Order: sequence, then structure tokens, then C-alpha cells
Amino acid sequence: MANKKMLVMFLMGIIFFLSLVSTSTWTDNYDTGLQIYLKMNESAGTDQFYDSHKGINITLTDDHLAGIIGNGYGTTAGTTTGNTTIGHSGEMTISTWVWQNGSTSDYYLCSYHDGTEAGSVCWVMDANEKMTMYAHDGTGLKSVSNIDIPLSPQLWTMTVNDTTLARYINGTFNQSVALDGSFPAYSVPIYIGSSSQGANKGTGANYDEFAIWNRTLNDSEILGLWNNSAGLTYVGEPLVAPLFTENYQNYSISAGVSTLQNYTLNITYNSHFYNVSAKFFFNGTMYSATATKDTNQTIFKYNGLSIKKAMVGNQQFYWTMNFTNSSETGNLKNTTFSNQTINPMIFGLCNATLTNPYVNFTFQDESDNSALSAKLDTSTFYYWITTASLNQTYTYSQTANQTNYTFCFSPIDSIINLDASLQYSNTGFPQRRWDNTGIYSNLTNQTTLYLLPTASGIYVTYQIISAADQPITDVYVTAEREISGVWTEMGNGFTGSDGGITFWLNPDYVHRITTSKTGYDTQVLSHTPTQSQYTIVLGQVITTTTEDFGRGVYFSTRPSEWFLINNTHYIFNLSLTSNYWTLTEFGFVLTNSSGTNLGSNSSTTGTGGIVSLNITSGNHSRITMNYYYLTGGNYTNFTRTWTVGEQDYGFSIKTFFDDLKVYIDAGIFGLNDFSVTLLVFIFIFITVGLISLTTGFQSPLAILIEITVLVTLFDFVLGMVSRPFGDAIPIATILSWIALTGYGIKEALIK
Amino acid sequence: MVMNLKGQAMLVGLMLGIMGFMAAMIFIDPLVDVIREARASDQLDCSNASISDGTKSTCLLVDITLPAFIGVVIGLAGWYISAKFV
Repeated sequence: MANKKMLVMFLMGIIFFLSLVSTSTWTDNYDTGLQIYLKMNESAGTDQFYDSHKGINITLTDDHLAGIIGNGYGTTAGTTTGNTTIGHSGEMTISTWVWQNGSTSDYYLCSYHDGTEAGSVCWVMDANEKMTMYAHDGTGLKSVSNIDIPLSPQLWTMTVNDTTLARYINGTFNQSVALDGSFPAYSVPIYIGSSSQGANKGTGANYDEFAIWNRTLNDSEILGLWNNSAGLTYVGEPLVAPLFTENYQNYSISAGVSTLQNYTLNITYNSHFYNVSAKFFFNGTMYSATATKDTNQTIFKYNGLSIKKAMVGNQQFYWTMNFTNSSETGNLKNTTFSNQTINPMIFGLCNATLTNPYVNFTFQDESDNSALSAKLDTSTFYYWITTASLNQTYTYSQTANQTNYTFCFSPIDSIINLDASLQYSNTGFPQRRWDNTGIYSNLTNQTTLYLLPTASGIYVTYQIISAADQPITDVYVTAEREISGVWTEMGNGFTGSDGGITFWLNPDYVHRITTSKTGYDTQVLSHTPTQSQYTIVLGQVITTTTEDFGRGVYFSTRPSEWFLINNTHYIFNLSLTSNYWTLTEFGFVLTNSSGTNLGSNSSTTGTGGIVSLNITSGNHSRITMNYYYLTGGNYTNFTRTWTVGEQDYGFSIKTFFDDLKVYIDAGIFGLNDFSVTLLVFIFIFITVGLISLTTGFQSPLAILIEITVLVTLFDFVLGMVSRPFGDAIPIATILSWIALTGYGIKEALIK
Repeated sequence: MVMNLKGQAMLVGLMLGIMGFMAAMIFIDPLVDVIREARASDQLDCSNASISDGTKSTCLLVDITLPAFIGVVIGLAGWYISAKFV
């Protein structure tokens, strides 16, 4: 017997010993729900921690120190934090080895901003090196209370689900607190070594083997992580290879102001994610990119970025991609920075630094074709490369005669648009004007401008009018003369509000005057300008067809009534059909009497239909429906207005007396209670008299009945008779009924 | 059985009377709308006791329009019936 007992005790001793020395291994169940695993094994000199699970590099700056397995991590420098790039979906386990490094009052990890965000978590160390673990369940922060943070590593684990926040120390349950049935999903990442989503970077926390699961581990799993103080680390390859591979980017190394630039990013991303979107950041501004997807290769494009003058210099740009799948969001990843040099756009008179000539102006005497020098009284140049709205302006004038004026542009390889206006002259040569808009390049444009001596020319004014004898403004007029067999421009410009434009022309030669304006026929007048004024009639371009955009369009509106009651819901609708025109759009806009928009609805059905809007009539006094339809580029609209007022019950005679009472109370025509009573008396007197006269009802009883009825009507019903004993006592009615009753009793007694 | 001339005249008269009465009744709804429109706050503003005496008088006339119209219609109907059938 004793031997048996000894045998049993021996066996139990073996079991106990084995249980003490047994070690855990990383089994498949630990992979389930694993979101991130930071071994933190990097050595000094690198600041990238590799998420062993997803293969994501996470930047954690500061100390790399000896950990429980390999190296650990300490926030001693307090310079920055890394974030785990994940939130949670309503249930989680956080496990890490922690120990203090002597600093106090620190955050070990945190995902909340100010502690009010449902679903956020936080581990906070106070000034006494005690840790509190928080979780926000939607009604407030719940926590497991202070416990000392050890000087040597301990495995601390927190599990949170809808009902419980639990803390385990070294694999053993330590403390828990109930949650209010909710732990909402929260997308903000958990930041290591900081609070407030990356703020308040800490200096007092050490970590190792940091892991997050999107489920609550059970007790034996947590005990396995402790592994008899030896710890357990993630084994195996990352489940997911690096998120993406950048194949190439396309962009111009340099770009000029006013150009439109295109940017392309081509990546191949991991099939673990089914979707990826990207945003393009340039000069600190975010632009949404469009994506073209081909299996796992995606090309992002941002086209048409307007390069502005303010961007001149070296600009950095990058792409931020967001990788998602059914369970994971917030996987943001940036490309490295790229650079683009934005060149300034400079146009001006050529000088030592601006040396690429684009246009050169020289001058000739029109009378003998000899070379001249000239003053540039004014000149204005608007120039741009691609986008006219981003044009820049250059003005220049020169009061001394020069033989030529050469203007340069930088950057040299650009083709530019130039809108130029010059006024030039010389002594004895009246001023002429030259306007031109054209495209220029570094193949220098040679332009000869002509001047005509005072003795050789006359001022000729061309008056441009319509067939209705009305002056036409903004007509572009050019005056040309044939020189050496080539029609050469002597002047150009736009007519003013008087329809006139004046040129300095040589009356000895035939000139060709061309006038043009959109909407009018272009006129070419060839003549010798010997007079000071000519009139040119521009024929208007005649539209050959006049469309009736109302053809085949039928519509009706609702509500059908014209008067609406305040604070009542009405369905306003427009029923419109079009059996001839194809409608681009139709609909309506409702406004009140002050023009405030109350709502609108529209449709793009080509044949029409019904569009409705249910709104309350509120306290508006009027509601106007502006209904319209668009077809063939034509906008046609109509309006309908409803009057809105308080609920009433029609306009019976009662309304008349109600208003009459109100107006009498307000003193209409100076009437007061007595005068109204007097009027009522006169009315009753005349009425009873007329009835007696016309019907023969002259007995005292009949007259009393008539009087009593009328008095009751005017006093008791309508309240138009004075009540000296208060409104509650209709004394006239009472007296008339007493009189009638008394007389009736008397008659009865007599009979 | 062929109705005599007086009977036919009475029947036609009855039909005309009914038609006239219906026509008059049809006018009541638009008349009510017109009255509402006239009494609205951006027109006569009859519900406002601070308007001028002239406007108040106009309001009273507008108020009495519908009862007067109905009274006239009924009166005409009474006259027509008494003239034709009594």
C-alpha cells in the first residue's frame, strides 16, 4: 500500500516537474486574428521595426535594448512614435512585455484622442510607476486599476470585448471590469509610446514582443504567451508579403508655370488586399487620383495639375495609397518623395540673364521702305504656356528711338502664347498700334512694324454699323497694304462703343480693310483711303431656322389648389411630357416669398415624367414653383405661385362678423361699444318695423319675438352689443328674454 | 305617352335651372380662392387689425362676397322656381 502511495506521489511529482519545465510553442491558433506582431529585434542603428505578421515596416525611433527574446524597444529619447497601422473591429487582445526605465508619467500605448472616443484603448503609467489600462465602451472609459510596473520585464495582456476588460500579468488573470455591452469598432491605430494619437511622446516605457489580435485570447493561450517567463515569439514567414512594389512613376523632371502636368504611378500590390486607392500630394496639397486596375497591377494618374507661379522652385510630391480588404482598413503607405523642378516663366526685353529671343521688332518707313528707329510708347504682353488663366503680364516702354526691340523668354524650350499690344512712333511719324495674339517659340519671330511720315498720311476712321444703323463694338479691324507683293498689316484693333476705329494710312495706295466679329459676316473692303471717314455695314449672320422649344411639351403642376394651409405637408410635383424634343433636364425649384430656396427636384429622362418633392408649407406666405426644362441647349421656364395661410373654414357670413368684431374692437371709423350698440339698435328698429309693415305681424308677442331673436343674434351670438356688467353677462339678451317670457306668461294667464 | 307643351317647357326649364345652379356652384371654389388671395397677408392683410379703415371696409366687402353670391344664386333660383312652377 505504501509502495502504491509512493508510486502515485512519484508520478505526480514527475507531472508537476514536467508542468514546470514544459515550454509553449507558437501554434496555428495564435495566427488566428493576429493583426500585428512586432518582435522588436532590430539592433541599434536602425529605426525600422518589422511587423512580422504583415511584413510592414513600422518606424519606432529611440532605444533598442535587450528584451525578453532578442532585442526590445524603449522610448527613452521620446522623439517619435510608431503606430501599428490598425484599429480593431470590436474585440481585441493586446500583449507585450513591459518594464519601466525609471521615467514616470507616461503612455505605453494609446489610440484615443481625448478619451471620449468609443472603442479606444490606452495604457497609462502614472507618476508612481503604476499602470492603468483603459477601454471606452461608448458610455465612458472603463479601467483596471493601478498596478506597479516592474523594473524587469513582465508579460502584460489586455483582452477587451463587449462585456469585459481583463488584465493578465505573466499569463495569469489579474483583474477585470465590466463594460456596458459594447466595445465599438475603432479605426484609429494604436500608437506605441504616446498618447492622443501620436502626441505626448513618451520617455518611460520599455517593450518587447508586441502583438495585437482582433479577438480575445483564452486563458491558456495567454498563459502560453508567458511560457514560464521565457516568452513566446511569432514564428514563420510574414503572412503577407510587402504591400506593394513600385514599378515606375512618370512625370516631367521640370515644368513651367502655366503648364498642365501629368503624374503616373504604377504599382503591383499584394493580393491579400482587394482594393487600393491613392491620393497624390503635391506642394502640400492633396489631389485624388484616378486608378486603372489590371489584376494586381494598378496605375494611378493625376492629370492636369496646373502649375502656378507660386510653385516655382523644387517641389516634392508623393503618393499615399490605402490598401483595404474585407477586414482590414487603414493600411496607408506612402511612396518615397519625388522632385520636380518648377521653372519660372519669364518674358521680357532680352538682357544678360534673359537671352533666348522669341520675337524681334524692327521698324520701316512705309513711304520708302527704309529702316527706321522708333520709340515704344507702350507695350503690354500677356503670355502663358498652356493655361491662359495662369497668364503673366509684361509691360515695357522706351522713350528713346531704337532700331529694334528683342524680347526673350525662359525656359527656352517652351512654346508660348503671346497676346501683345504695342504703340510705337517716331518724331515726324505719328503713332501706330499693333495688336496680335500668336504662338511663339525660340525660333525667333521677326516682325517689321511700319511707320508713315506725317506728310504722307491721313487719319482714316472706319465706322462699323449694323444693317439697322447701330454702331457695333468690339469688331476686329485690320488695315493692310501691299508692300513688295505682300499684304502687310499697317494697323489693327477693336472698335469702341461708338463702332469706330482710326488708322494712320497712306492715301496713295490701295488698302484692304478687313472687319470681323462673331455673329456677323466678315467684310473685306479694298479701297484707297482718301477720305477721313468710311462706313462699313456688317451683315448679321442669319439663323436659318427658328425653333419652337414648346412643341410637343405638356406639363401640369400639383397641388391643384391655389391656397395652401400653413404647417402642412404637401407633395409638389411637376408632370411633364415631351413627345417632340428630347429633354436634357427638367425639374422645379420651390422658393418662398423672400426667395429662399425650399427645395428642388429634377430628372434627366428625355421624354419627361413626374418629379416630386414633399415639403411642409411651414409659415410661408407664398410658395413659388419655378419649373423648367432644357432641350437643345434652350432653357424654358415657368412659374406658379401658391398662397399660404392659416387654416380657415371657408367664407361664410361668420367670417364677415368675425372680422367686423375685430375691426370694431380696433376702432374702425372711430366706432366704440356704445356707437355700435346704437347702430345695432337702429338696425333692429328698422328691421322689425319693416317686417311689421310688410308682413302685418304687429302683435306685441310677434314684435317681442322678432326683437328677442335679433337681440340674441347681435348680442349673444355676435357680441356686438355693449355689456356694461362684463363680457360674461349678455344683459340685453337676458332682458329681452325676460320681457318675452313675462309677456308670454301674462298672455297665458289672461287666456 | 307624349308630354304636352307645358310639360315640355317645364322640363326644359328645370334642366336649364339645374344647369344654371351647377354653373353657379362651380364658381364657388375659384371665388373662395380669390377671396383667400385677396385677404392674404401680402394683399389686403385682413387678419391684421392695424390696417387702415378703408382696407378694413374692403375686407368686409370681400368677406360678404361669398355669402352674397350664394344668396343671390338661391334668390334667383327661388324666383325662377316661383315664376315657372308656381
